[in-house]
Amino acid sequence: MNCLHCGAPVLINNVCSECGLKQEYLIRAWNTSLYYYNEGLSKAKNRDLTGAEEALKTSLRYSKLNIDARNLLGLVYYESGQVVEALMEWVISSNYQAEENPAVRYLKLVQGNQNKLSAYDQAAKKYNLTLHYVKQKQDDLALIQLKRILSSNPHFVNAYLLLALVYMRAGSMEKAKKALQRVLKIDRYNPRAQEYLDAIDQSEKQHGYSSYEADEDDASDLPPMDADGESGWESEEELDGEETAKRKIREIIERGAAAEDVGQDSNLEIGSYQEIKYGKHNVLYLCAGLVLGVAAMFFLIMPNRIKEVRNENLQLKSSYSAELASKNEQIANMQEKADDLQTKIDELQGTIGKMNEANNGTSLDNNLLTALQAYMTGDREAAIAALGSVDLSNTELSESARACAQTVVDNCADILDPYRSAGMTAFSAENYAEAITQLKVYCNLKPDDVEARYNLASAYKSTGDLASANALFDDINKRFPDSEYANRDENASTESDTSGSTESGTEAGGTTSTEHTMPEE
Amino acid sequence: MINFDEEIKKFKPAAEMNQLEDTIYKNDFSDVADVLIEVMKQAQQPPQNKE
Repeated sequence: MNCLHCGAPVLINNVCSECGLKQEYLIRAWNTSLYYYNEGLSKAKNRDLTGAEEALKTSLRYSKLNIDARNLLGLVYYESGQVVEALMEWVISSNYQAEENPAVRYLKLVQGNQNKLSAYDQAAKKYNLTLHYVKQKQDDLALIQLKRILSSNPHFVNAYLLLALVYMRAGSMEKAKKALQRVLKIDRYNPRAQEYLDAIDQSEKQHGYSSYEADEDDASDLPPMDADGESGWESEEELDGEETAKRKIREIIERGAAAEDVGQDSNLEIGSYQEIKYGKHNVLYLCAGLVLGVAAMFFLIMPNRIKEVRNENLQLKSSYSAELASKNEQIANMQEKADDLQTKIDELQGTIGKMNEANNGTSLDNNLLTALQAYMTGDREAAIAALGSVDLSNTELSESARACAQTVVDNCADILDPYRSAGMTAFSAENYAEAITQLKVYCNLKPDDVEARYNLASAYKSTGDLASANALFDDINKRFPDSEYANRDENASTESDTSGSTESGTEAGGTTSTEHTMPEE
Repeated sequence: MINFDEEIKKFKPAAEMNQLEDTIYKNDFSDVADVLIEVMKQAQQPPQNKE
């Protein structure tokens, strides 16, 4: 035999080897616990939930290991709307006995429906809030909250009692009575409900029925009691109260009060967790909402949005086109102005050219007049010196001026020859500056002397004045193509392009001068 | 006649889900076996000397 308390072996003297308790005492306590359990069960069968609660609590005081008493107490709590207390009893029961305990199944069933569990929790919170309202005498708010509480937890006995109390304080005795009758349908001998009903009856007797309002439409104030087909308040009144109570108690007992009768196939209905799959519905609603939202976006929002974007693009395009047209017009105007300015520039350049030509002609005329004046006064050297700057081969010189100058030159040939000899000597001595000075005067007045002209060009080339040198070389090639000096310096122009330094020009000139001073004769 | 204020004081707040664990721990009352064990423990303790 094992100990009823700790399960350890019992000694011969009926004392537990572990905890030392006499088994006689434990057996008596267990029997007493069973007695009160049976009393509680009997009261529960009569739907005396308050009495059953008291008896079952006493049973547990004698033996807290009485699983049946604890499970039945949980059911009584659950039936009276105290879900948290019911869960507590079932949790403790399942801890004492984890296997073959209906409390485990109760917990699974209740906790399997989280939505309803949350509704019960919210109802408890609102009930606590309503207590605060009632204490603060805010009866309107309390009534609103109580109706919400009873719609989510229609077996909440304390909420009905509180509702009845609020109605009584407001003088709505009929409504209070109906709320109390609801309580008595759940808990037939609820002492507080009976006390309130007695008080209402006494008050009605004192004041008469006519003193209270006739609440004909009160049925709508209270929610239907059960979701399993039992209708609201008025239809239930027509039923035989005793029969209804018996039936309900029978259901409770069949559900699990007698623990040994409860099996996996029993029709236990705790809440409506099996009837409504809130989770599934929520997922379906969510999916449907998503599909509708996407469809609405594609069919209602997107076309408008595309239209707006297209309009914006068109406006942008038109604005850019207008801007481009104005820019093109500005460019055309500026091009026209540029053409006008270019025309003016050309005209001015033409004017400048004419003025330069006029200046050159004036200079030539002045030199010629000076020479003539010196010649006429007998100063032939001065005449030659003045004419020295006049190139008789210049095509701009008029024929009369050329003839006049040629006459002077012919008459002063003896004075002109020393210029040639001095120039040639200076060129041979590589005194190119002096050679240029002397030979320039001679060559201007004797443009047909090829040798002097060639040496002058070579002197220019040697000093780096390649432009003058090339002009002279070209003149020689053009006017005296058959002479030995023609085409002797074809590279002069090329050198003028490539040679930028005076040093290289001087070097080339030196080489050339050596060649020119010893022509092939 | 009912005294409303007194009656309202009889209503206690309902237990909420977040208080479930605390409620379970507070519900650990003693039964007859626990009382007997406590009595035996006290009986086994040596009596205090009275001067």
